Amino acid sequence: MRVASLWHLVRLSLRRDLRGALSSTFGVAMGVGTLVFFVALGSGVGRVVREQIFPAEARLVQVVSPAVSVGALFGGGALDDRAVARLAALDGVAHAHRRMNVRVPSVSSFNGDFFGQRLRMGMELPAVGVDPGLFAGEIPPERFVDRGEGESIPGVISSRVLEIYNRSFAPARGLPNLSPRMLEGFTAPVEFNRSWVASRTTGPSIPSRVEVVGVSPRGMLAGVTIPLDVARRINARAGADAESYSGVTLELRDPSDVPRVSEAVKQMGLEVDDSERELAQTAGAAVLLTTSALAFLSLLICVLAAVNIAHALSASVRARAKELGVYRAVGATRGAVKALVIAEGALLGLVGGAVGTLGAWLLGFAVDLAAQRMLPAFPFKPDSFFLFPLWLCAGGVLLGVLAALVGSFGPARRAAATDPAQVLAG
Amino acid sequence: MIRIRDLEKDFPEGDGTRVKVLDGVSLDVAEGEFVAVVGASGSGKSTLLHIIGGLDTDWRGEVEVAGQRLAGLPDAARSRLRNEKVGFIFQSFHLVQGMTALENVRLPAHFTAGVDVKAQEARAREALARVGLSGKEARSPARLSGGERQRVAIARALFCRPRVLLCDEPTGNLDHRTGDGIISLFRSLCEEGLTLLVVTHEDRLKQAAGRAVRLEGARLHAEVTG
Repeated sequence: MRVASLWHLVRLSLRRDLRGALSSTFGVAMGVGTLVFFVALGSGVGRVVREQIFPAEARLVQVVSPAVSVGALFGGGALDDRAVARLAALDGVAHAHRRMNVRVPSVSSFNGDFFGQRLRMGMELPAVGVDPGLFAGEIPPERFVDRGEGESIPGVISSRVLEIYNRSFAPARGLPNLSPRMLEGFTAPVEFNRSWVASRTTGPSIPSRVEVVGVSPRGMLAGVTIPLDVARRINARAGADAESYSGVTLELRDPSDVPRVSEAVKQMGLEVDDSERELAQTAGAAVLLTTSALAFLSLLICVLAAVNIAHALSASVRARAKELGVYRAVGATRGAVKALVIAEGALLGLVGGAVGTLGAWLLGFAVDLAAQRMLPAFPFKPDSFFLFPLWLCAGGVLLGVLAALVGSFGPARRAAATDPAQVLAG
Repeated sequence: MIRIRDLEKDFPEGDGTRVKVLDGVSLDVAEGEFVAVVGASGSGKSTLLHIIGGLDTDWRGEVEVAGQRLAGLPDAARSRLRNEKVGFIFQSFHLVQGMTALENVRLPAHFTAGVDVKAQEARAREALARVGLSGKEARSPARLSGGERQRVAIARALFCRPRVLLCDEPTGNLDHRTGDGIISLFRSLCEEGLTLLVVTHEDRLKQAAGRAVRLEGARLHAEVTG
């Protein structure tokens, strides 16, 4: 049977029972639409969690000294230059970026013009020193170096901190929103070996200035990231440990090497700090679980849609028994009659799947629009809560067709088994 | 054109027994012959027609139509036989609602492989003209009289230029005058070489046929016709 003929007869049949066809299509559209909507919502929220809230880079492994180490008594577990060299030599490691906390408290107080606004504030400002290579490709290495005693210290701000400032801190205080470029060159005073919280510090405070040279997702979340040599110099001057490192960030060539390298790190008596990755995974799992539960409900609707189609087509086949008998009398094979009913179901599913997917997209668009207009700005508020990749849209349409095919198979078999001699008699 | 030997057919009864409706039936119909099958209601006339047309496959014996033996013939081959060589006409016309007269006539073309659409349409118009329905191609069955509907059904049966026309009480639902028109159409089709096997219990149709056979007691008997 030719496709054009099949199309002609299918259209004719559906047009005659338009109400039944619309009812079946509506069922499929509801099931597919809710499924696509919830999966797109889960994907969109999951993307925000992965890429903005907990942007754990798949290729990075954070190595730290163990909190308690028997090996430390015998010289193992310490993060010194030898350990760093061994870590850098591990198979799969492209770079080992050292980190050294400034091991004395530090504060920053600002009183002056802040991008056109008068600002007076002070805060504890933890600092960590890192190798410039950590920001390779983001910040030119010549800008992130120790400029020497008495000079300003180049600092990198976390992009997440900037997001929190822009969406929460600034609006609440009438301060201007800032872009990374605006921040570059901004200088604030800082005093090391001084705290407004700690009861006592040893030695004199070390006054300096931090000049922002960039914003990066690799920057320290609760503080400022400075060159390693500066941290080492401040620690030495304050009489703190200026030799061992607080941690090492291993940059791997391939994310698939993470488990193997992590295992090798542990065998060296060191620990892998997975807290950020675990947070991302936990949040991602919560989103996935919620999405899966809603998607399961949507799949149930699809099953109901398939049952609805089965009922509708069964009724249609019964009502059209004589017509199908005529088709057989003028030369239709059993296969052609079966194909006809299956094609009717497939068309209902195709239209239902497409309408459902389009409806989900439109609803997502409406929700985004409402969120933009009605929800206040908050940190990590995305432009869109939804992600509609091509595979999801195509999958929605295919699911509609699949549900309809499942529903139409039984009626198609019954239609093919119609005995023309019996239905055409009399 | 039609050759039947020792045809047997039975149906199950409600009490588990089987009742024979055709018992050793044999019949030969030559090309271009017009044969009427008469008999009481429920005598098996329509069943015989359905067997010859390949719609009924549960029987024993030998049946050959247009050179094709039907016993054991697969569904696809039987369907092709109906599509290309055998036309059916029913008492209730069995036109498809929602299709125009023209679409009803070209219905068999939907089940034929590789047919030119324009040629199909021309042939359907030709078939409608042949039965005197030119100008009514776009009418739906609901807007046609009983006689016109039967003419559309005849045009549909003629569409594929069959060699055999099987008619089941073709004038049963028509008034006398309209029925006469259909009968004269059958005569002219027969004169053109078409083989007609008509199941009827109407005398005028029996008289119009060149030969009549009576189905009685599950067997065929020769009838005298005018």
